[in-house]
Amino acid sequence: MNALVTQMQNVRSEQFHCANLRLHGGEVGVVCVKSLEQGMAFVDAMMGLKAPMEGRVELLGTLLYELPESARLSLLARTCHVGGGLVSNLKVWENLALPALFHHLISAEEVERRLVAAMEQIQNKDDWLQNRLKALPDTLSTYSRRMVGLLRCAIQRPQLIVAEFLLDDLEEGPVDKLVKMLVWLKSQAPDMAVLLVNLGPIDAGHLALQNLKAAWIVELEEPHHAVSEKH
Amino acid sequence: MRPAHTHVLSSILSFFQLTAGIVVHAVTHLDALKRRSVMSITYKQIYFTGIQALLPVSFAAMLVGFTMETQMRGLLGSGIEINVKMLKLVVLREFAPLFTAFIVLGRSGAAIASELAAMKVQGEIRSLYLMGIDPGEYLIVPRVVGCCVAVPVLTFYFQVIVAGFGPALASMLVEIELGPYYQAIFNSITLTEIIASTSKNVCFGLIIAATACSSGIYVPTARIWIPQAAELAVMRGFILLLAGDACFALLMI
Repeated sequence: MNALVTQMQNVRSEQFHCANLRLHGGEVGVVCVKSLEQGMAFVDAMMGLKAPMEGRVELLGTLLYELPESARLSLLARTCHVGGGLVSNLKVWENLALPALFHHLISAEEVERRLVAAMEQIQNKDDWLQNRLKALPDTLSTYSRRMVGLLRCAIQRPQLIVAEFLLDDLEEGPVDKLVKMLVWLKSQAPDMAVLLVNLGPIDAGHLALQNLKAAWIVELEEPHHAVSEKH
Repeated sequence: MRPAHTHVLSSILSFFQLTAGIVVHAVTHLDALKRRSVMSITYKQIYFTGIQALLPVSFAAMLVGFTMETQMRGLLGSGIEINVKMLKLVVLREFAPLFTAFIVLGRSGAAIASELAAMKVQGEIRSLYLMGIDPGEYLIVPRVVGCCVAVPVLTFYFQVIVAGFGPALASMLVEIELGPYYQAIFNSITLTEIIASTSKNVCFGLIIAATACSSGIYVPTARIWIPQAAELAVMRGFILLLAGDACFALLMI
């Protein structure tokens, strides 16, 4: 079995009750949340933004809340968050390159090489290259913004992708394209773990989860409720 | 329920704490400028705060120079020495730094505050954290450095326009011997005065940037706070600039 990428033990916050999960390298896990606020609170607790009220959070082999903030931020450079707001005053291509270049993960030439390779997986590649990459994020559709998040992962090649509400509020077509890109990303880095945070329950037989070979689904409960885990 | 004056006092105290925190964070994280992406935003900030403000500063400086010269001649007569002394004390030392700082506060301070407030409301600051990027390094350091560089340069530009164009424009209405007047202005400026003026302008840049950043970044996450952040930045900056000017005036006595 691959190394443990993230682990939460009896983690409790104001938004959720007693989260327990273990995600290993190469695995895909799904966390179903009841509301946007709960999902964001879960991601914040897992990524070190806001310490939970109780419990133990481990990320990439380190107890997250025992680290100073600067070390926590360095650790996050090895992860990639998809679904958050893009920086609105940077063009899309600048957003794509930002974490990789800020943390000096790879050179600008390598960023370009990886982006070109990932672009091959997108159907309307020419439109992306000619228009969308040069645009400001506000002009993009929800689907395109989420695809930008995945393209950023393709550049960064992180150990963990946290996809926050990636498949929510989208038609079947865009969902298929996003899942296809995720599957391709996993094929490029077999040790990479993916954590999908989904709004509302999702069936284990969902085509997207079948394609991604999800290892487990956790339903997060509101405070004072137990967590159920389905394998 | 707390009395109103306690609430006001605690708000003022909290604002000073946040603004001082911004200054400390910016000063202790200056090494962030080694990162190309941070440096690139710093250049953009200098361009926006400094170069794009050249036109309004030029107009303001010409008008101030013209008005001051004509008024001084009417009040003090045509004596070169007294006019130069007045120009240096009132216009170059006091008026130019404050006027330039007010222009920068109205343009860049309001823009920085509303931009940061919008970023906070749209979740972009959270996204930066999740990318492992310290928003203090990425957002605050470039804005503070940008203002601290742009304000002294703009003020120097303002002073040159006031001292150069003001007498020239006024000479169309009142009698001024331009050659000896310029020579007297140039001869009267000392290195100490230049250093004091630059220090004061750097402080003004710091006040504008720190006030704007603290007004923008610490707003509640609701859209209604975006314009309010700009308003708060301008009002707080205005008062702090006047207070800063008074402190420098005391030091220069």
